[in-house]
Amino acid sequence: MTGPTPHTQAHERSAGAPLRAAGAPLLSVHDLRVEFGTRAGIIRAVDGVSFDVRPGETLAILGESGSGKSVTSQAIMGIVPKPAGRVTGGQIRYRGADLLSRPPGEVRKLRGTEISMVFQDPLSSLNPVFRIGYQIGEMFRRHRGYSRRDARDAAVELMERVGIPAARERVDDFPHQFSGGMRQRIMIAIALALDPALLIADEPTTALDVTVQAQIMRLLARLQREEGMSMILITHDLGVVADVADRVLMMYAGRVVETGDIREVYDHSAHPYTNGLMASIPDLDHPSDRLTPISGSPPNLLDLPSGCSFRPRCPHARQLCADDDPGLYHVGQRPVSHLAACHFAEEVTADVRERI
Amino acid sequence: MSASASERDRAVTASPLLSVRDLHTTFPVRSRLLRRTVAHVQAVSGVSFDLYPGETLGLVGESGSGKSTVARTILGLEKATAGTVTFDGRDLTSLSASEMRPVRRDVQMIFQDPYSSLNPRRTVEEIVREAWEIHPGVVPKSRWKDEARELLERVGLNPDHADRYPHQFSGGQRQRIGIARALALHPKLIICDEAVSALDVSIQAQVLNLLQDLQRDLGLTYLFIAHDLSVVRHVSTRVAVMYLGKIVEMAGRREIFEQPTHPYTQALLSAVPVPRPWDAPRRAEIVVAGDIPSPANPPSGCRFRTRCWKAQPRCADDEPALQPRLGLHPSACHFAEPLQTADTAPM
Repeated sequence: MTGPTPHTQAHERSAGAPLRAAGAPLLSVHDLRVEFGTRAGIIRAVDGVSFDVRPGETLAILGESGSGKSVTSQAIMGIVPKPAGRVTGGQIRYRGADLLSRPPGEVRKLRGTEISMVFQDPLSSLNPVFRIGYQIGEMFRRHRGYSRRDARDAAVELMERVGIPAARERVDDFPHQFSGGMRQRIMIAIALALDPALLIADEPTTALDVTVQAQIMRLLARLQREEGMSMILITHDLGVVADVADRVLMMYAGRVVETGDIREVYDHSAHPYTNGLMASIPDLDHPSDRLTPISGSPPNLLDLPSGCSFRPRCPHARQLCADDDPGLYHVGQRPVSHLAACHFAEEVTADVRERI
Repeated sequence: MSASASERDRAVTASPLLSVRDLHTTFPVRSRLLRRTVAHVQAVSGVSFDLYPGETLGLVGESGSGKSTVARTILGLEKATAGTVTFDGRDLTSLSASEMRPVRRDVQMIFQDPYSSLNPRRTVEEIVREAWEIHPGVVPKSRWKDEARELLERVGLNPDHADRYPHQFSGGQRQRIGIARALALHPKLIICDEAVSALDVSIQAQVLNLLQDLQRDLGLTYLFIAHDLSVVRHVSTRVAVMYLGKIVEMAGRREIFEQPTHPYTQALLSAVPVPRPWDAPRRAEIVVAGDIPSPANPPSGCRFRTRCWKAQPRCADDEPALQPRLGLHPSACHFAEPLQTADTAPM
């Protein structure tokens, strides 16, 4: 794997283009299915998920544990844990070409160059015995054929860009000599090394303190703006992405239950799960004496209910919900995109209006 | 928020259940090569607070602030280097291990990770009744089965599941088992150390409501340690903010969230992500630079000065005391003042 891949040359991003340009999506996931074989049976971790990411756009994929949000990103990156996990259907089109039907070697080249990823735990993603300058520089040596010296210089430059103070003095330090926040900056530097068109960040701030979390989110937002890249932010925290994301994709039990422009979804949620999550979060600015939790437990993926998976926990559930699985459909009259998978979406949004 | 006001009135008239004075907890850093102590990590350095019956004191801070060490020192799991911990009139730091045992009945702890704190080889009933085996006389043996079932029901679990093992429960249910175990000895004080941090949001709200119900029904007192300020605001009567081993600001929950005067509290509050930033009252945007310094080598004077935008030479020489400032609550900053730009939320 030396030299630039054909794709980095063929698809120069046009500088100065509007950040949220409409038109052809950069990434288009259609009816994605991922299964995991366990001793107890087969789990459909991702069950027919579809979404687009447009150039320059930030999409937040939200969900709790077991929702399938991380597995979705693993499928895009081609890193679904094997042999237990397996992509069983659907397409992942990147710049129009389906990654799932291309030879693995070719897809691997895209990773790191065109599509790169930042994980939750930077310490386990960094090699403890190599100096960080070497680890960042590896991207340039491997993919761009830089000399050691040039790669080191490029590493310093990147470290500066992601806000690591005294980069030139610290380039030869080892991962353990950095704090958690700085290590996450190093991971971001590695992810950005080859100017990816799409950055996937899976819970990038979950392991960090709140003040550091704010620093990292600002950094990601700034880099996204400067580079004009697209971003997929995967998180369980509705608040963390609110300032950064353009659109959200709410997942539950392996499916998309609601998606649309972030303000539209947060302000006029049309799915009882989204609505329930909103009511579960203690409000720092308008505290109430009591929270309204979602009742029941997270779904058992081995034994999902018929029809709508959320139905056993849903205050709106009726017989129809058990008989018929609601697909995603457009809600509301506004000219914005907003889809929800609920038979009683209108009723749910009416409730939301009452609450606000 | 009339409830919190009346709680505070009650708190002021009663004598404290727990009184921590000038608590220090230091960990030696030993060099394997030199075979001697080369440094000391001052995890807790000079913490004082009172906890009144029936109230919830929220202890917030980031990693390295020492908040969990405060809890562990109160319980005697770490040895205090200096200072006193007075519980129900007795100084716990001077007690021997056997003298501590009856105190442990009254002070229980709920941990962050319910799974690693529950014995996987014991059924839920065995987990709950273990405390009665250790502390005979609390519940007569003939009552164990019934009492265990009642406890499970009390925390919202199906009593018919008493013979199941922890792995057969979800994360939220496991935390309920941990709560049932903490309640088994009818404690007066429960220390919740990041008790809801590992739970999904929808489950977190269930457990927070449960903790509130238990406090109301059983008259419990909580020391609630957490890093999530939204959660702390929701559950606390009063809040203490810790930074690098010290309390930097302490006040009733409404005051600390609406009129914080310490720069660190202000920075912490401004960093809290809110779900609908477009609807939230405009808050000052403060992003503190850098990371928390090492507690093995804390800055002189004010420990926050290395990250503080208000720092002056005086802050390095003269450590600001935690004392009431500007006619408000205690704050450990020479330049304590409410934020000018932040709108305060109507309550």
